[in-house]
Amino acid sequence: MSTSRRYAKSHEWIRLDGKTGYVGISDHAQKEVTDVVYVEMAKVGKAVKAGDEATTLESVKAAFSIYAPMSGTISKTNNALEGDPGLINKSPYDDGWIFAMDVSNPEELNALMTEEQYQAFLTSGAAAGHH
Amino acid sequence: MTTATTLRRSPLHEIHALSGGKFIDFYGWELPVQYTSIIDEHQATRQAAGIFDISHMGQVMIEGPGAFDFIQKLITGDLQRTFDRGLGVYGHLLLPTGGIIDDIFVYGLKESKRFFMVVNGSTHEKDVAWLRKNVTPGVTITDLENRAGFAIQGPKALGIIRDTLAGIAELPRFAFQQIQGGAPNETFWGCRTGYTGEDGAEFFGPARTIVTLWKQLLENGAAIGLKPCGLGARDTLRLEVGYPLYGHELTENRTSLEANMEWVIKWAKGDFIGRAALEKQKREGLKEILLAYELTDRGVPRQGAKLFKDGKPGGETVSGTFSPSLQKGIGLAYAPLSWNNTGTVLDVEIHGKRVPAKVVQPPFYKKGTV
Repeated sequence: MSTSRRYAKSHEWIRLDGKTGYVGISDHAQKEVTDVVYVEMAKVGKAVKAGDEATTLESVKAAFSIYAPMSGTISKTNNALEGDPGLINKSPYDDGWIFAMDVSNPEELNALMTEEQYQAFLTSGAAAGHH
Repeated sequence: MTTATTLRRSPLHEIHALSGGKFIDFYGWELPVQYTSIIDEHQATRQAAGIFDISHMGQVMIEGPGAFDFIQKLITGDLQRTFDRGLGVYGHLLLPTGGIIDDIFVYGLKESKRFFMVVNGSTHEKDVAWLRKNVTPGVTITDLENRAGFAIQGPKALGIIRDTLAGIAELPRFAFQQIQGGAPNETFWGCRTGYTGEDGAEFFGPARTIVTLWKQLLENGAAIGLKPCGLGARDTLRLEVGYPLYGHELTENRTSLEANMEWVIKWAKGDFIGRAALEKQKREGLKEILLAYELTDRGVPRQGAKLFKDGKPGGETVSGTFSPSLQKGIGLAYAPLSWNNTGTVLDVEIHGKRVPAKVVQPPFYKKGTV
C-alpha cells in the first residue's frame, strides 16, 4: 500500500512529480460520487490556494466541487475526461487524474494525509459528509 | 449518536441491504438510491428489466355505495373509465385554487364498490387527511397498513412476469387485476402501469406476499438481465420520458394546466374540486407553463437552474439530470408560455455559466416500449 499520494479531507489526492502535482479524487470518493458524466476543465493558468475550488464534476446524482489540495497554478487538464468522464470511476488514481498544478509551496504536502492516515480517516467516520 | 427522526423502512429493506443497496432519506423513508450504479440500473431497465421498490407509496381503500361519486368529485380523471374498460385511472387531486395536492392512480371494482387508490409517499398523510375532510356518507376510507409494492419494468418485464404468475402480462396497458394469493383470503393487485416509459407492471399488496413475489421475479429474471434498481435510476428513467414527480413539476402552487397536462382533466365528466379555478385559468390564459429542454452544449442542469431567453431571465428548472440514454443534459422548467415552442433557444445557468439549450417536446427519449 506504499504510495506517494497524499490526501485532503475533501477526498482529493495529489501526487508530486518535482514541482508538478497531479490531482484526482480517491477511490472512496468516486464510489460515493458514482457515474461521473461531466468534468469541467479547470482553467489553465489559474492561481489557487490550498482548499480553493479548482473545478467541478457532475455525476448522474449531483455536482461536486473539486478543491486544490495545495497552493499553486493550474498547469494542465486531463483532456481524455472530455470524451470519457467515466475514467474517474474506472481508474481514479491513474487515467482518471483531473488536473495538474505547479505547486508554490511544497511544504504544504506535510499537512495532507498519507495513504495509511487517509484509510484510518475513512474508517473513523469523520469522512462522512464531504463528497 | 441519535437522529431526530426515525426513518421508515420498507418490508424489502433487508433484501436491499443484502443486494448492496445504498440508502438515502426519501421523505422520511430509508430507501435505496442505487445498488451498483445509477447508469447500470437505468440501462438494465431500458435494455432488459428493472425491479423497483415502491413500498413508500400510500395504498388507500375507498369503499361503499357513495365511493364512486366521492372519488369523481376529488379527481380530475374520469372514474367511469375504470368501469367501462377495466383500466386504472390517473388523475390529480386539486385544491379549490386548482393547485395540485397529488397525482394518483385509482383502480376500481364496480360490483363490490371498492376502489384502490395509490398515492405518493411524500404526500400520503396529506392526501388521506384531504380524503377524510371531504368524505361523504356511505364512504369508508381505509389507509392500508403493512403493505408493500414494487414495479417491474423493461422490454423483458412481461416475459418474466409471465414465467412467474398468470394473467397480468396478458392484460392491456393500464388494466389491473385483483389476485388471490399469499395467506388465505388475501389479495394483491397487479396493474399494467409504470413510471419508466417501458412496459411492465406494478404490484401492491400485503407486505409478505409482495416480498415473496419480488424474490420469485428476481429469481426468474436475473439470468435474462433483471436488476433491482434504486430511486436514482427511477428518477432518470421517468425524466427521460417527461413524467412529472410530485414536489418538482407538481405542487400546490401549480395547476394541471400549468403542468402542461390538460389531458388529465376530463372536462366532460362533470364537477370536481378545482374545476372552476381551472376553467377561469383556461379562459384568461396561462402565464407560465412546464416546458422541456435539452442542453446543446455540455453540462448537467439541476433543480433550481435559471433559464434565460435573449439574455432575459424568466424560467426555473424543476427537474434536471444527465440523460443516460441520450448522453446529454435534460430539464423540465416552468417558464413564460411564449417560450414553449419547439426549437426555441434558451440559456440555462449552471455554476454561474450560461449553457445553451433548446426547447423540445417530451418525451426526451422516444424509444420506450410503451
